[in-house]
Amino acid sequence: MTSTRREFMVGCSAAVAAMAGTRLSLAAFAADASEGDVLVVVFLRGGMDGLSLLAPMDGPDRAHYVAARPELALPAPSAQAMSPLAPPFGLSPAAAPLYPLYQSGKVAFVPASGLVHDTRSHFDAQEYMELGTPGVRSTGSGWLTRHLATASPAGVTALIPTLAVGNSQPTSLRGQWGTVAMTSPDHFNLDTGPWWWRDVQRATLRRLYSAGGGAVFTAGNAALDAVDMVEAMVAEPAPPAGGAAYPETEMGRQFHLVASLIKQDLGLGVATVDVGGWDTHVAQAWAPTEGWFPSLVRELSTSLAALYTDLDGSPAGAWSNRLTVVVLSEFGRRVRDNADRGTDHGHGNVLVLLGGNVVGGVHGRWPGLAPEQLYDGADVAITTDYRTAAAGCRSLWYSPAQPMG
Amino acid sequence: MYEATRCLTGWTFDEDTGELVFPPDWHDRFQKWVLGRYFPPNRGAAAEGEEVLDLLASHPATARHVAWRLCRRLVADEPPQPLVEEAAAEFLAAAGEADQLARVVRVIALSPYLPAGWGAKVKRPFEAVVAALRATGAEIGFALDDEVSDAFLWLFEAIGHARFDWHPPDGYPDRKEAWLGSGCLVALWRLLNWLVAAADRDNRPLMEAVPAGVPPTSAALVDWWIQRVFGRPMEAAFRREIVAFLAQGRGEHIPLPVTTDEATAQRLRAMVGVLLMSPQFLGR
Repeated sequence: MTSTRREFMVGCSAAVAAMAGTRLSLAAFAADASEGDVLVVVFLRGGMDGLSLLAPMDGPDRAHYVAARPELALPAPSAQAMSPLAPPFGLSPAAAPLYPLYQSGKVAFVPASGLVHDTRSHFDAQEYMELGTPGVRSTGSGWLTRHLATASPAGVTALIPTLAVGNSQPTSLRGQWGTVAMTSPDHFNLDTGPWWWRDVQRATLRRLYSAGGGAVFTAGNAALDAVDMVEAMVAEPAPPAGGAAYPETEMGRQFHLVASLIKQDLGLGVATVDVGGWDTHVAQAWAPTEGWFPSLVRELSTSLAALYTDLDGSPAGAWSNRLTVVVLSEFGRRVRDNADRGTDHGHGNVLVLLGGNVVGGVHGRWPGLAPEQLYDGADVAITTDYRTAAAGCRSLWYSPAQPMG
Repeated sequence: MYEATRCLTGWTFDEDTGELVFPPDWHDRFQKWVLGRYFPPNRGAAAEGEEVLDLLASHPATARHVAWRLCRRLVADEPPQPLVEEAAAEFLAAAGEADQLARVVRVIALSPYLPAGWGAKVKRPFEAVVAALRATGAEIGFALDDEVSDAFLWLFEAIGHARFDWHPPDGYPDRKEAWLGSGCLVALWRLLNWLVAAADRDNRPLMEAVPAGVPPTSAALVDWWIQRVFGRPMEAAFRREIVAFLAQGRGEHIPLPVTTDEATAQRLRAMVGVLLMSPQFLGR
């Protein structure tokens, strides 16, 4: 840490160096970490089929579910059966890695939630959701940007307040210039140029970007800060703690990166992870645990469980108690499957919460799957606005669970 | 929208020839209503589809949308409303003409709003990369199984602005917020900085850094490269910073060993990298 710290102090702006000095000495003497919560927002791009993640195991909706999905219904009593959640629901066997965490009360499901706006367009729905303004796409800031503006504790300086894992910064963080957006720390540098003059180049760029105002200058400075900090402090991912095993895939590495940054104690308040591949119109699954969709669910569940275990088992302890993970998607899929062993764009969906202070269980009011209970005659209705579930997780989901209606 | 899509049922292409074909059985032949117009039954996929496209192309909302997109592309993220209306009016006036879009662009390009918006836009990464390729004269000579092409494309794709790779049908964002995140900027800088340093497969530099006939002094080299990259002289403070980078404490009129000393040769390349990564280069 000593040598990287020294290089770091030389390379970056005075303000950041001053903050880093404080934070690094805290880290060196350990334990006295900040008290901030960490919100991890996982966006499943493409419209995740919630009814293949969490489905009725019995009760009147079981018959409706099986009738609507002759090819894709998750079986209730069989070798590949669902794991029982709060009745009448069961969890897909592909999501088994999450089940122990559900049993210990760390996972909450909010079925029949989503975007209360009648669109089946991926890009409209994703924009509305990430801006937090259903029906309006011209909003200048993302909902996480506004969340950060109101939720940051006074007097706490964060070195890396926001992390976006992926090639680009998501709309939910629109206008949040301080975001570090990267897929891997290995490629988050300017080291592709003439090697002899790297440091001098950066110092010159720093002065050029500090010499003016406006979006380009602000954003460029923020990006240079991010390069400095990533180089000094996150070059190597922290080894997983508590026996956590991330999948050895791109997705697994993304979640590992989030955990590493949280454990570095740089003041991370919000991280976003984008996971694509959920637009399953064709050949969604061959069996409850086989095929495209079940594989994605297993990879995601394993990653989420590893993230929680890693933070729960870290020496600094209580990290998992500050963690809230929100998993959402732009819409659910039709109750009835299609002729190609797939599902088409629908409406209501299940939202998943994971964290040390989440009140586990199945929340919200379930509207039912009988034909007259469906939205537009075809889709799961929405009884919980995704914003209530996601942004209000403190007020709603940290309080005692509401009974299912 | 549903009715319009019904008109387009049965439009497909021959998988061998790529030709547009209309299998009769694939068309929904019953009557429809599109934008208040009645479509009688049994007219065939080709005629109905063409009529829908004509209807859409001549609709005032299309004129406004296309005009707004062009104004946003050429003038400002939030283009002035009077200009959008002027461009939309031209779009409708020139309907059916072969040079319809050219006429709309001409209205925008000749309006006083265009020069007034100078510098307000940000180059999208593709534009910045193309501008940098032109300025440096770097030839990638794209080829399969070629390490230079692969290196370029690997760096380019990380920026998130690959051609035709935006999945929603609304096109890549054309607002600066979308392109100024740290991930995007860092990825762009990595490619721009690579361009000034990389060599081709015969180990020749992609960029000729030492211009012919220019005295090898910091002042002359910087002025030549500033003209080359920006096409105009730059503010004194900016130029001073760039000269200081190249001179490294020497007087700006002292000749530099740019062809004989490796560190100096690299510094000249690094200076061009700084120009390309500067905030001034990102503006448009």
